[in-house]
Order: sequence, then C-alpha cells, then structure tokens
Amino acid sequence: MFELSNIEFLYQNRIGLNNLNLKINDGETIGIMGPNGCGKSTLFKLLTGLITAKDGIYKFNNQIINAKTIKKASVANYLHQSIGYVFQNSSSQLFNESVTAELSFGPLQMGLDQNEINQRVTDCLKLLHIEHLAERVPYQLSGGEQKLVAIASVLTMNPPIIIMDEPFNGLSPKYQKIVQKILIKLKDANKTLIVSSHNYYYINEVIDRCLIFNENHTLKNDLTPIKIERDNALKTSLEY
Amino acid sequence: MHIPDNYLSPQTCIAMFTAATPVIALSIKKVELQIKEKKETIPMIGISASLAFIIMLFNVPVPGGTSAHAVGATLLALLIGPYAACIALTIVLLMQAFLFGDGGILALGANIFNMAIIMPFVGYFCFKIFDKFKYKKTGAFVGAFIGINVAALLAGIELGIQPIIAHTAHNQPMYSPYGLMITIPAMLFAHLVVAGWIEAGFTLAVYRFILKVAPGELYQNVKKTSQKSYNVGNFFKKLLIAMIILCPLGLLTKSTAFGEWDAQELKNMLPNHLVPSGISHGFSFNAIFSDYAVSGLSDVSGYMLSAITAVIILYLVSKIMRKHYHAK
Amino acid sequence: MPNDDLPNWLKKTNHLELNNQVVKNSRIIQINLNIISFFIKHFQNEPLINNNKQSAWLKLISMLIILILVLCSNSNRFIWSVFIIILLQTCQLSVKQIERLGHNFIKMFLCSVIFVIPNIIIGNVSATLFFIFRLAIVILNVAYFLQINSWQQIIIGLKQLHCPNLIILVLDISLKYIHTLAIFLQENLWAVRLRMVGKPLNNQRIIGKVFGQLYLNSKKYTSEVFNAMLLRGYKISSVHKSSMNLKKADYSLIATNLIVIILFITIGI
Repeated sequence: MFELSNIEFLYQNRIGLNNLNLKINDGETIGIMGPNGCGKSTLFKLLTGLITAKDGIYKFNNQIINAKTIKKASVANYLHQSIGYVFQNSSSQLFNESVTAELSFGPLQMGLDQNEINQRVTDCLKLLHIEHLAERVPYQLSGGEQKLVAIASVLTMNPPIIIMDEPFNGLSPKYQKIVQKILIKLKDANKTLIVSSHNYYYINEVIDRCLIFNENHTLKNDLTPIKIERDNALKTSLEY
Repeated sequence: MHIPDNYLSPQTCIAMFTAATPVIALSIKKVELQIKEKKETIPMIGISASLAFIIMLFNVPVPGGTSAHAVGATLLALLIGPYAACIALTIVLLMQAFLFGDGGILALGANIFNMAIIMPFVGYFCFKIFDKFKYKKTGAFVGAFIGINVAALLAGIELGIQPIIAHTAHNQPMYSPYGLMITIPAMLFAHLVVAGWIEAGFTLAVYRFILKVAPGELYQNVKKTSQKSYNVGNFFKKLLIAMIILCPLGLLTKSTAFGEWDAQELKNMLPNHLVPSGISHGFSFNAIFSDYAVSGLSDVSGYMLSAITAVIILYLVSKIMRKHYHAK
Repeated sequence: MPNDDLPNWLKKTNHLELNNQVVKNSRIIQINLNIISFFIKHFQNEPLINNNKQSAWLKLISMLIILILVLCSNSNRFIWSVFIIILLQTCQLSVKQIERLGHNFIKMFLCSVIFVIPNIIIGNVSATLFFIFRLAIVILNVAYFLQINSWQQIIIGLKQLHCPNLIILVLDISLKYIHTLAIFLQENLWAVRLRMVGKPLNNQRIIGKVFGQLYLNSKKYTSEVFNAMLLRGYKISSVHKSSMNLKKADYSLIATNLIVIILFITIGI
C-alpha cells in the first residue's frame, strides 16, 4: 500500500511534484495521465525510492521511506523486491550481454535456483512473444523490442507491484494488444499495477482509477473510468 | 595523477607544452585523415571525450574495501584508436581544468603529456604486442597496467626534478619540494599496488564486454598506404618523443658528459695534470649557446630553451623530409 | 498452455515482509549514483556569470600572464600585491558570485594543498608556508577566471587565439553530450540498483557491462548527432573567422596586467 501526504519534490529550483496526496491500496490498478513534464516519471522514481521527497511523508506498507531510511539495505531491498519498474527510456534499463541474461539477472539476484530461472525466462519470452530475441544483444534492438525486453525482465522477478512508465510507447499495434492483455491478466492475479499512458484507451479497460496530473505538477483528478466516461469534456481532453 | 599548478616550474610547464604540441598536432593530422574516410569521427571523438570524463568521475572498487578512479586512456585507445584517444583525453583534461579546477592550467602540458599521450600510446603499443599472439584480453589488461605506470613514472620524474632545476639561492625548492627519491617511489608504489590494478581491471571488464557483444565496434587499424613514407614519419616521431622524454635527464648530472671536458677539467682528471699541447693551445671557438647557456638566463633556463629550439628544428626537418618522401 | 495465459509462478502474488536482517549489498553502485547525481546537479546549476563585456581572449591571456608571473616570483610582496588586485576585481562581483567563488576556491585549494603538507611535518616550515601562500593566490586567480567566464566564453577565447578547429568542435560536442551521458548512466545505475535485492553483485562484471553499454549506445548516438549537424549546414572544412578586436572594457584589464608586469619587474623577482 502506498500513502503519500503533502509530497513536494524539486529538481534544483524547478518543481517536480507539488503538494501531492495519494493513497493506493494493494491489488488496485491505477492509470496515470497528464501532459508532458507534469511529474509522472518523478512520481514513479519517488515510489521506487530512487529519489526522495523534499517535504511530505511517503509510507510504503506503513514503512516510512525517506532519504534516511532508504540508506538501510534491508529497506531498500524490501522496496526493490516488492516493486518492479519499467522505465520510460528502456535502452537505459538494459545492460546485459543478451536478452536471456537480462531476464535472468533479477531472479539470479533473488537467489533462485537455475532451473527455476530458466523456466521463468522461457515463460516470459513466450508471454511477450519475443522468443526470437533470446540471444540478441539488447543495445542492438529497436526501441519497441527494448520495451518488451524491459517488461519481461521485470516480470521474471514476479514483484507484487508493477509500475510501468508509458509501456505502449514505440510498440506496434500487435504488441500494444499483447501488453494490454498481459496487464488484464496481471490484474486478475491480484498484482498492484500503476501504468502511465498518453492514450486513455490503452488503459481504460484495466484501470480501477485514473490519476490525472496538470501542468502545475499537481494531482487534478482522481476518478474511476465510469466517471470519466460520463464527463465528455474530460474524456475529450484525455484523447491526445 | 593530475598535477596541480604551483608544483611544476614555469620552465617545466613550457617544456611539457612544447613536448605535447607536436604529438597533438600529429594526432590531429591522423584524425583528419580518419575524418575524410568516416565523417562521423568528429562527433565520435566528442562523445568519447564525454565518456572519458564520466569514467574519471566513476569510483571503481578495489579488493580490500577501498575504491579509486580509473583514467580509461588505454581503453579509449582500444575503442577509437590511439590518435583519436589522444585528442579526446586532451579535451577531457581541458574540461577538468576549466570546469572543476582539477589539475592545473599551466600544468596542463604535463598532464596532457602523461595522460593523453603516454598512457594511450604505451597502452596501445603493449596491447598490439599481445594481439599479435592473439591474446587480446591479456593485452588489454597488461597494456592498461603498463600504460598507467609509465605515466605515473613520468609524473614522478617531472615532480622530482623540480628541487634540482628550480631553487632559491638558499637551495630551498621553489616548487614541488620532493626530490626524485620521494616522488618516483611514491608514484610508482601508488600505481603498481593500487591504481594500476583498478585501471587494468576496468579496461579488461569493459573491453571484454564489447569484444563479446560488438567486436566490430572496436578500433580497426587504418591501412598503411605507403610503407616508405610511413616509416620516415614514424622514425622522426619516435626520435622526437625519445629526445623529449630523455632531455630533462641531462639536468640531473652535475658533471660534464664524457669527452666534453674543457682544458682545465681535463688537466684535473689526467695523471700528473699533463694536458696534450694541442688541446691546451688549441683552436678556441665560442659558440652562440656554448654549454647550452644563454647570457642573461640561468643555466637551467638556457638548457631548456636550447632543448626547445632543437625539438622545433627537428620537427621542421622531419616535416620537410616527409614531404620529400611523399612527393617520390 | 496457450501463449496468452500467465505462467503459474506469475499468477502467485506474494506480498513481502520487511526483513531487518543485515544484507550485504554492493555499496559501489550507491556511491557512484551519488557522484553522478551530484555531477548532474552541478552541471544544471545556472552559472552566475558576470558579463563584464571584456574580450574572451584577453581574459584568458590575462589569467595566464598573472599565473606565470606569480609562479616565477619568489617575493612575498609581489604575490601579496597580486592578491590585493584579485580581491579588488572580486569586489565587482555580486554576493552570490562571491559566495560561489569562495566555495570553489576552498574546494580547489584543499585538493591541491594536501600533497605539500607532509613537507611541514618533515620540518621545512618557512619554504612550505611560502609555497602554500603562492598556491592560494594561483588558485584564487584561476577560480576568479572560472567565475567570470562561462564555457561558451572560454571556447570563444580559444577560437580567437587560433586553437585548432577540430579541438573547438570536439570540445563543444563533448560539453553538450556529457549531460546526456550522465543522465543515461544514472538511469543505468538505477536499473542495476532496482535489481539489487539480496545477493552481492559481481562488481567488475557489472561495471564492465554498464560502461560497455554506455560506449555502444554513445556510438549509436554519434551518427544521429552527425546527421543533425549536417542537416543544419555544418561543413567540415569551414574556416572560422576569429577577431581579436579590443573593446572599451578591455583597456582596464590591459592596465591591470601592465601594473602586474611592472610590479613583477620591480619587486617580483
């Protein structure tokens, strides 16, 4: 469970997040939308402990996460093993010599045995329809292929919470549908999902709530899809 | 290994700038040839310079719990070639001096000579020896280790000769106060025991990854067009570099070189102090810069000026001779 | 099992508990993340440059002249006079600039002075004290120069002094790319850190992979940069025009330098 109270984050003198109050329960699927530069990626980095807020309180499963507590290896491990994060820029997320090595890396760090690791890698390659990329070098892949490998590398760790920063970017329509179906199945498996997207219709079928940010880096709306469907003006504004 | 300002005398700084300049000029020429074949070389060098800058920021762990910074000079030479690496590293040192005040501004000549010239060229040269026997990875490791240690040795010499060449009338050193007996062991110890292994380990780790994943992205030797002209240029380059490196060693000796004694010195050395008459009443010639001394300047300054003049003349002669061979 | 269905291990959702056992982790990733984050912040700092309208090339030459003369001098009086001159120049800066200058000076001074401290312990106190005094003035001179010049001005100054075109171009590209590269490295290190969940990392292999990746992605980037340059009309053999004209504001700087030179000749040696 995530609880954020009065969170403020600054990049030097530039506001990243402004007076954010938010609660996300286990098992919920949350959509995040907003214009470019409104703070979506900043929020994700904060939730995963990569950055810490200047002001306000962030609690993850009742554990306070701030600059002091995240320095403890036990807290950092707990956070990182609980949350899988797919970066917006996938090429910076991949660093191993092959796709198979990339997918194996997380489970290896978790201390799983080799048979289980091999099983997980094979399953995730099949799930994302990227078996043909198994022995390819990640840096040589196209943007879309890198995105799929990044998603698979997070899934092999089987975290209970998965954050995806614009997972549909760069994907062909076929792969967009595959990722949409996977999100629905992950939701059915009671994972907590937080997904950002510029297109509402990529995520409307899977989300329980949609958080809409505005240019001032504040949370403007926290609505269910039903409420959004009823508000034509809002629905139109999300169609970009 | 960055030498700050105030530790090297202005004479040393100017000498090192002079030593570095022909090599940088040669590297620019070589890289311009590379650019003609492959125009992306310009942004490639710029980006490599950025990479080298970041590498020097990075803390690399050492077994035992400590960590230190790698230089990445040999690695860069293996990735983009020694000439391009020389230019990229020169840029990095310029940036460090002007961006962070890391390493002196007048000492830039010495720092460029040690880290942008000696390190990549020596490292690459060692790598090529191992490469001939198909031991690429060992070559990368050993090349990086030797490269950084040779550079450290030179830095130690540059610092160590300061008390000899620049001191007050009361024999107090004006710049680096530590003599060769301290600087050379200190620099070599630090690099043979710690920094050299970091550099070698880092170079090997990155080289191994790229060799496995994208061997085509490594530096491929430019084909030699004319064997004859290359040899002449190469010969003069090596001669120039050897002379520049060995030149300051002359300052260490207090006694006169063998066979260069004047009549009085000879008299003191010979048994019964008898000097052959031909020498005692021989031809007297006063050269413009006799004993490398220039009137109005100290012995050391005169020595350095003479050295600089010789280097420039040799460079000009080599340029003429190379052109002559090219025309043939 | 159809391809679309989740595998059984993925259907299980296990919420983890915080385990306060001490777990060995690789500190080197966190140390380097701190270094890179600090560097990115430093780079993003808007430079507080005093636009004193003096020519870039003259400021560079002036800094070098003072540097050389101070280094050649053995006289406490001369170095003290130069100190006063630099202080007078510093008075023209704003408070924020003076604070930044002071901060940079202390940082640079401490990094440089550390090597000479053992000499005091050995017993050569007076010579070392003079050395430290001269070092301080040298560093102050350089710190002041860096404070009054942005990078663009330094590059213009080098251009005006006929620095080779290739060096200028490469310098320009490097400066612009460093920030992109640092951000990429930071994200790469974040990606490694997010998967540091227990077992200690094999540091050497990770560093090799991270930097290898950095180089390969950079190489990919170069062709894009070069095409962008070409599209904006860049010609490799272009000859840059450099003018070393003197402006009104330059005369005060020339006067300052003449004073320093005269002081050196009279009391400096």
